[in-house]
Formats: sequence, C-alpha cells, structure tokens
Amino acid sequence: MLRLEGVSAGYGRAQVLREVSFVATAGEILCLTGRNGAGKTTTVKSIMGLLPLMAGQVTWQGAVLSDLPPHEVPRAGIGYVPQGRRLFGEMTVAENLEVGRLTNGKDARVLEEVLTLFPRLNERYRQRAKTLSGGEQQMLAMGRAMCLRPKVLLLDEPTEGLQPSMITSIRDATEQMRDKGVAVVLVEQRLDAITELGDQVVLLENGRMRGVLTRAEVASEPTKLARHLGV
Amino acid sequence: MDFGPYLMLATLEGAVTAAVLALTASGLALVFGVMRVVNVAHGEFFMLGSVLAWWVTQMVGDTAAVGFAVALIVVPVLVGVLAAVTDMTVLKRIDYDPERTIVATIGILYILQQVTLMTYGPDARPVSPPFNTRIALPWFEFVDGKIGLYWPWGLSITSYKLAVIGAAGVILIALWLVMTRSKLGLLMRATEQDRDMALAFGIPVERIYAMVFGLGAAMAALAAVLIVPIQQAHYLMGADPLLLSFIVVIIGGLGSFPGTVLAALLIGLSDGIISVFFSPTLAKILATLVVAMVLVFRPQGLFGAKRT
Repeated sequence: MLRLEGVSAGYGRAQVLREVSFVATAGEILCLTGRNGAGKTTTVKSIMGLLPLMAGQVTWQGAVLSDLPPHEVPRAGIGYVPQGRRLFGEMTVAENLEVGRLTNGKDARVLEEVLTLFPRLNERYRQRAKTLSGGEQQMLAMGRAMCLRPKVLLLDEPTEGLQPSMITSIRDATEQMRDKGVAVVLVEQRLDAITELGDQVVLLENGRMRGVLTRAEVASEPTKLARHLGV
Repeated sequence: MDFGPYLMLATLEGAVTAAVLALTASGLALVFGVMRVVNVAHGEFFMLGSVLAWWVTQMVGDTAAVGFAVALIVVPVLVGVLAAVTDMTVLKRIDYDPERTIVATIGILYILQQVTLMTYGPDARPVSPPFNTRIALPWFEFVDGKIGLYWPWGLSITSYKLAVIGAAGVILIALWLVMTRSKLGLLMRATEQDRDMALAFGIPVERIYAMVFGLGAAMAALAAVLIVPIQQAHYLMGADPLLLSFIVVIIGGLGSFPGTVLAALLIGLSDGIISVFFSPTLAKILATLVVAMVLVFRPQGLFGAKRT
C-alpha cells in the first residue's frame, strides 16, 4: 500500500498541500481530482520526492519513501508519467525506454512487452522523441514508466490534449497495469475517465482534501463529483 | 619564404592551438551543458594540469617519454578527482544555483592560483617533449608547366606537434563515443535534458554532476599536459585558455559538442594564421569581435538550440 499521512508540501516557502492523507492499494486505481491549482501535481511530485515535504510522510509497503533521496524512489518501484510527458526530447524512443529500464536493467522482457502494447513505438524506435506526435509521445511516456516494472504508477493527466483513439489506448494501458496488480494513482479532471476508472476518488481543493469517494459513491452521486470539478 | 609555405606553416600552428582549445573548451561545454554551471575556474584546472605535469615528470625522473606518459595518465585523474571533490564540497552545497556558482568558481580560481604560487612558485618551467623530431614539409612549384616538390627553408613542424593534433582528435572522438554510445553518456544526456525526470528514473543526479565536473576539469588537464612541452608551466597560464574556451563555447553554442569542436577549429586556425601574419593581439581582438557579433545576431551560438 502507498500511504500518504498528513503530507504538506509546496514550492520554496509557498505551501500548496496541507495535510493530505490517502491510501492507494495494489490492483486499484485511485483518482486524484480537483480544479486547476488544487494541488494534484504537487501531490504526485511529493510522492516522487521531487518536492521536499514540509510535514507528514509517504510510505510504501512500510518503508518511508519520503526519507529516501529522490533517485532512490523509482528504485522502490514507483513509476511516474508526468504532466506534459517531459520526455528526453533529443533522445530516440529507444534511449527514452533505456532510461526507463535503468533501475531494471536485466529485465529484457519488459521492453518487448511495452513495444507489443504500443506497436507505434516500435515503428518509431530510432526517431527522436521530440519529433513524435502528441499521442505517440504519451505512449512513450507511459512505456518509459512501464519499463521500470512499477508497483505504483503515478499518472498525471495522461490523456490531456489527446485525440479519442489515443485516449482509449492510454486508458487500456492504465487498466492493464491495474489488472497486473499495480497501485495506480491517476490525476484526472475528466468526469468520464474518473467514473470509468476510479476505484477510489480523492477530492482536492486548494491543497486540502475534501473527501474520498468509492466507486459506488461516484456512481450513486455523480453530481457531487461534478460539482466539485465545476462542470 | 613565399606566401604559400608561410600560410601552411601558420595553418599547422593554428591546428595545434585548435586541437588543444577543442579539448579545453569541450570540458567547459560539457560542464555547462549538463550542469548549467559557468565554471570560471576552468582555466585554473588547465593550469593545474600543466603544473602537475611538470611535477610528475620531475618525480618520475626517468626518460622524458616515460615521465610524460605517466603525466598523461595520472594528471587528468588527479585534477578530475580534485574537481569532483570541489563539486561535492562547494557547488552541491549552494544547490548549483547559477549566480552563486559563478561567484564560487571565481573563489576556486583564486584559491587554485594562489596555492600554486605558494607551492610551485612564480617561475615558468619547461617539460621535455617525449619526442621532438623536426619534420621538413614540402611545398610545390610549377616548373616548365609541371608540378614539382621542394623543401623551403624553415617550413617544418615537430613530430610532437603533429602528435598533439592526432591525440586531440582521438580524445575528442572518444569523448563523443562516450556521450552518444555509453550508459554513462545516456545518464549525462538525460540529466542535461531534464534534471527532475532523470531523478524520477533513478539517475543519481548529484553523482552525475560530480562526475561531469571532474570530467570537464580532466579534459582541461589533459589539454594542458599535451601543450606543456610547447608552452611551459606557469601559475598564471590559465587565463588565456579560459577566455578562448568561453569564446569557443559561445560561438559554437552553449553545451553543443559539435559546435564547440567546430568553433575551436575556427578560432584556433584563425588565431594561428593571424598571429603569424599580423599579431597575436589582433587575433584575440578579432575572436572577441566574432563573439560580440554572435551574441548580437545569434545568441544561442552557431549550433546551439534556443532556450526558452
């Protein structure tokens, strides 16, 4: 279980998150949602150790992740697909996937699995990442994180700005990860995606938690979620 | 001597300058590219390389070739380790903040320079080249409509200078292969492109920074070991390589390896040719003028990418 306990974090002296706590379970998708500026990206960055915590802690299977230096966090099995993809644009598809395998170097099968899941990456294997289309870049960002064989996968708005066919492809990959027993934390603002994928939905507003909804609660009270998102 | 042979001689002298400059500037470009640190102390790592080369050749005391060979291996390692330690103890502590690293490296510059003055002294000291055969070079002339070769008096180069040009080429190719084909190069390029993402994929960025700072300084030291049999070791010799390296890195494009090498060729060759035909001062003035033009019309350099 990935557990956040009273996590407060921010940028410099500006505090963004205030005492956020939730638990992401293996084989489930936890949707983290809220309007712009609610603190969703700050939460996943805090889990990755890319922002120092002001208070609280992040634990994974009992180990305190927030005590580790940031480069040790992925070694604990935490994969990250950041908002805006943030690929290594000057590198080829092959090299981006190679970076994903750095903590998992001996596992040759994972590369095959990723290329089978996203055959477009195989076609573009020697092409620079920055020359790919938006959808292909998102596939590469997902593939790069999957190369890590993560036990926890943090996805920050992975379908933002994509065409419908790509959105389906990314959602399928997300569900596959869940079905393999990965704990998925999905930052999402689309109501349909949250309703379809979320086993748990954490509502954030101005850096504070406003509640946790189960799948059943989302299904029975869709207006509550819609109101929270302002749609 | 006629103009043709004279130009050939100047070009060869320029090629030696270009070779050494390409090595030195590559180190500076590497550090800036990966770490975004403007290393003002880079010239002092060059100076330290030449001073340590003198010291090692004196210590080994065998033949000039053996002493030089030992210096060629030991000195870059020593300077590289010193730079890596400097990175971990100084630059890391100020979180690689761009402004503060400039001030910090100015401090490192003075510390290295003054410690060298206190220990090594103010004298310029020579290091014997491992080999130094003078090779006469031919030129051509037209006699009765046919091309004939002749050996003009004074048109020659030493075997050592040719070896410097060759060695620099081999080292630059090796550096390029490390950057583009090795795992270490992959880690360095990933860190260069996105520090946070490098961390998010398990790359120990601070260790990479220490390695890159060490490698950059080792490149400068290697260049210094190669040039010290031609120039002599002196505690103030770091200023010129620093200035020329900055000129090369700015013209080539900050952080661009091919740009750095091509700009080093341009500046080195023009420096050699202008120095021989006119004066070394004019060569420096023109190089600085080129930098000013580049900064005005193409601030990202000839091969650099625009930074947003």
